[in-house]
Amino acid sequence: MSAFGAIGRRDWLVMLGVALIGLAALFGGWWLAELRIRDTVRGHVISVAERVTEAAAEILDPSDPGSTIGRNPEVRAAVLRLLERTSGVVRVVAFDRNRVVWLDSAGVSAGMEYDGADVGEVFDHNAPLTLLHLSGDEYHVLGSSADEGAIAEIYVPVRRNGEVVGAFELYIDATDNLAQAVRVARIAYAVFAGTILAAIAAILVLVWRSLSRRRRDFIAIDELRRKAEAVSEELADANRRQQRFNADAAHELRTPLAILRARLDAMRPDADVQALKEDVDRMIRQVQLLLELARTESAEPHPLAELDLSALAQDMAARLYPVARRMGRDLVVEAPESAVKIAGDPALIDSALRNLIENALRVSPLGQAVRLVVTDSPPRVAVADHGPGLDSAELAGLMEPFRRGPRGGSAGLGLAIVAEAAKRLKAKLALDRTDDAGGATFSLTFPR
Amino acid sequence: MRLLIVEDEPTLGELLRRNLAARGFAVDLAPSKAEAIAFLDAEEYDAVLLDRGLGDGDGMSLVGHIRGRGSEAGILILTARDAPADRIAGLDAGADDYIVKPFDMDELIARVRAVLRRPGKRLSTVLEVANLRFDAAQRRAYVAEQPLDLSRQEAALLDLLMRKEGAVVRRDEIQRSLYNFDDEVTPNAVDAAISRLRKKLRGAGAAVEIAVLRGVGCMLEAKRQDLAAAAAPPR
Repeated sequence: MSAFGAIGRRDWLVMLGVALIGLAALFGGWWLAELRIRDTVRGHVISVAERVTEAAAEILDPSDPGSTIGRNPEVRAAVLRLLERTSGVVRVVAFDRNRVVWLDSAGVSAGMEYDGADVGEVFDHNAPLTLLHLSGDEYHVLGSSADEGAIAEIYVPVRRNGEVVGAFELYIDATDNLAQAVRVARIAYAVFAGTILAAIAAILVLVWRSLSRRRRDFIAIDELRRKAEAVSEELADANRRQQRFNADAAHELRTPLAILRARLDAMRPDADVQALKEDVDRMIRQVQLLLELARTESAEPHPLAELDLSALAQDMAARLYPVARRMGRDLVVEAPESAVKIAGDPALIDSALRNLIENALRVSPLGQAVRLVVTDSPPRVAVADHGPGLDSAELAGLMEPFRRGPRGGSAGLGLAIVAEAAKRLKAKLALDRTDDAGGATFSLTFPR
Repeated sequence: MRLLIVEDEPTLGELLRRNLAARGFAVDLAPSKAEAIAFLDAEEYDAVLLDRGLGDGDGMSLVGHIRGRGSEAGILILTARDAPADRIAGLDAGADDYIVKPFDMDELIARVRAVLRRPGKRLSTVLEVANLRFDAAQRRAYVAEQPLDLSRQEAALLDLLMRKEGAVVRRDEIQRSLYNFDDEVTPNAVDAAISRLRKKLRGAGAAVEIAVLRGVGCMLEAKRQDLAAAAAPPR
């Protein structure tokens, strides 16, 4: 699968999101640049207007219609020309609250009543008012502005002792100023947009690469998982074949042994027949242990059930008590009244307990009791005998199949079964001395 | 006592038939499922020994056939398979016991008798262990044919122990059986009842013993003469 094909719908949405955020940044930047241009122009014209107003107010009292400059057309024209050349002021009109107090080039007569909402606003708020008239399409940063012009119409309050006594209306040509602001804004915006586009491109490339790597890893992991499943399926299959083989082997071995045993039962009992029976029984026991070991080794990992170790131990003791009595031994159970909870496979626990108790009964001196002790925290079952005892260093060797212990284990298989069951139960098998006199105590400690 | 052996291995079937006949049982041998059904239709058996793997099908399906006819015959499955799952499946199907091949003939007979001693089975009315006899219908016990005086509680306990001779009867089972006579059965009452019965049996010279597996239960068994010889270490 190619990396491109591996990118899913969600990943496309992530990249689309990054692109959209980038576009929004570009648009926001343009909009901010536009505002900035207007602010720059507005700031320039207000500064000019305030300086002009301040200077003019010193020589012109708006509340005095008979002011010198107002009356003399030549002086007025000279002042206007001077203002236009130095500050781009193309028109000046002075008002008091109701009338024009000073003529301008537009020819508005002094003393004329003037219904000016704009003038009124300046009087009310005691602050300059700017109206910016822009020609062209107004998209300064992105669009062309070759033929664009800007005329600012400004009303500046004239104050005497802090009180507004009149207002100047000024028309200021801000075309050059606008063009300059646009030039600066264009450079700044170009840098900004370039940075944003580069960042978006970098992010998209990184996201794309990370996504494709993740996808590739995912595909690789998926492949590994499939392989592991195939191996595990093969193992399970081999295990099933082994179990089938065990069952078949059990049948094929047990049937002739059953015939042999039945034939001996049919014979007249004498010492030879009795000896033969004992030999055959020993062989039967070995075959049974061998089959049990094979079955334990191929036991399916059962879903672990919650069990009561105390009850399991008591059940097993009850089952083996008749055997113990027949052998002239005794069995003692010490288990708490309350349940000792463990998780495990009951068949494996039974197998382990039975082999431990049978071994202990076999090695115990006549008349001695084998003690089966269950304790809680940690969950533990111990089987204690008073036989010849074992060195705990021998334990590892005894757990190997067919290793006969110094105590004469039946075929060295019993402990191998216990060890295998313990491994599958995740229980810890330990060997200790029973007491000062010796003896062996095997214990199984279960995880909580 | 009439037994039916269903076993398709001809040598083993024939040997079983001979061995059981030699011990006084009336025995028929069916080598297949079809023949087993023919025998079951013609005769009433006390117990059926059933091999699982038969040439013409699983012997287990015969359990349903026998129980379907309302027969009280004891059913013992004989099998070469001993995986715990097989064992559970056999007992769940309605069999009374499950015996794994190969087996000792005495053990087999003891298991057949144990099944037949269960309440409702053929041997359930008169129970015998050594010189002790208990008439379950009359609720009377005899030691060497001499009547033994037992309270109703003691008789119930003896009934329970004799039906399960040679096997441990759990304390809770004893407690349940005593509960029929007394609403207040404490664990101590179980011990007291066992102790009283034991004393009476011993006093009357019964050749049986009640062995106690402390905390778990107790077991009735015939007194052993040759304990030391039987218990010789296997080394």
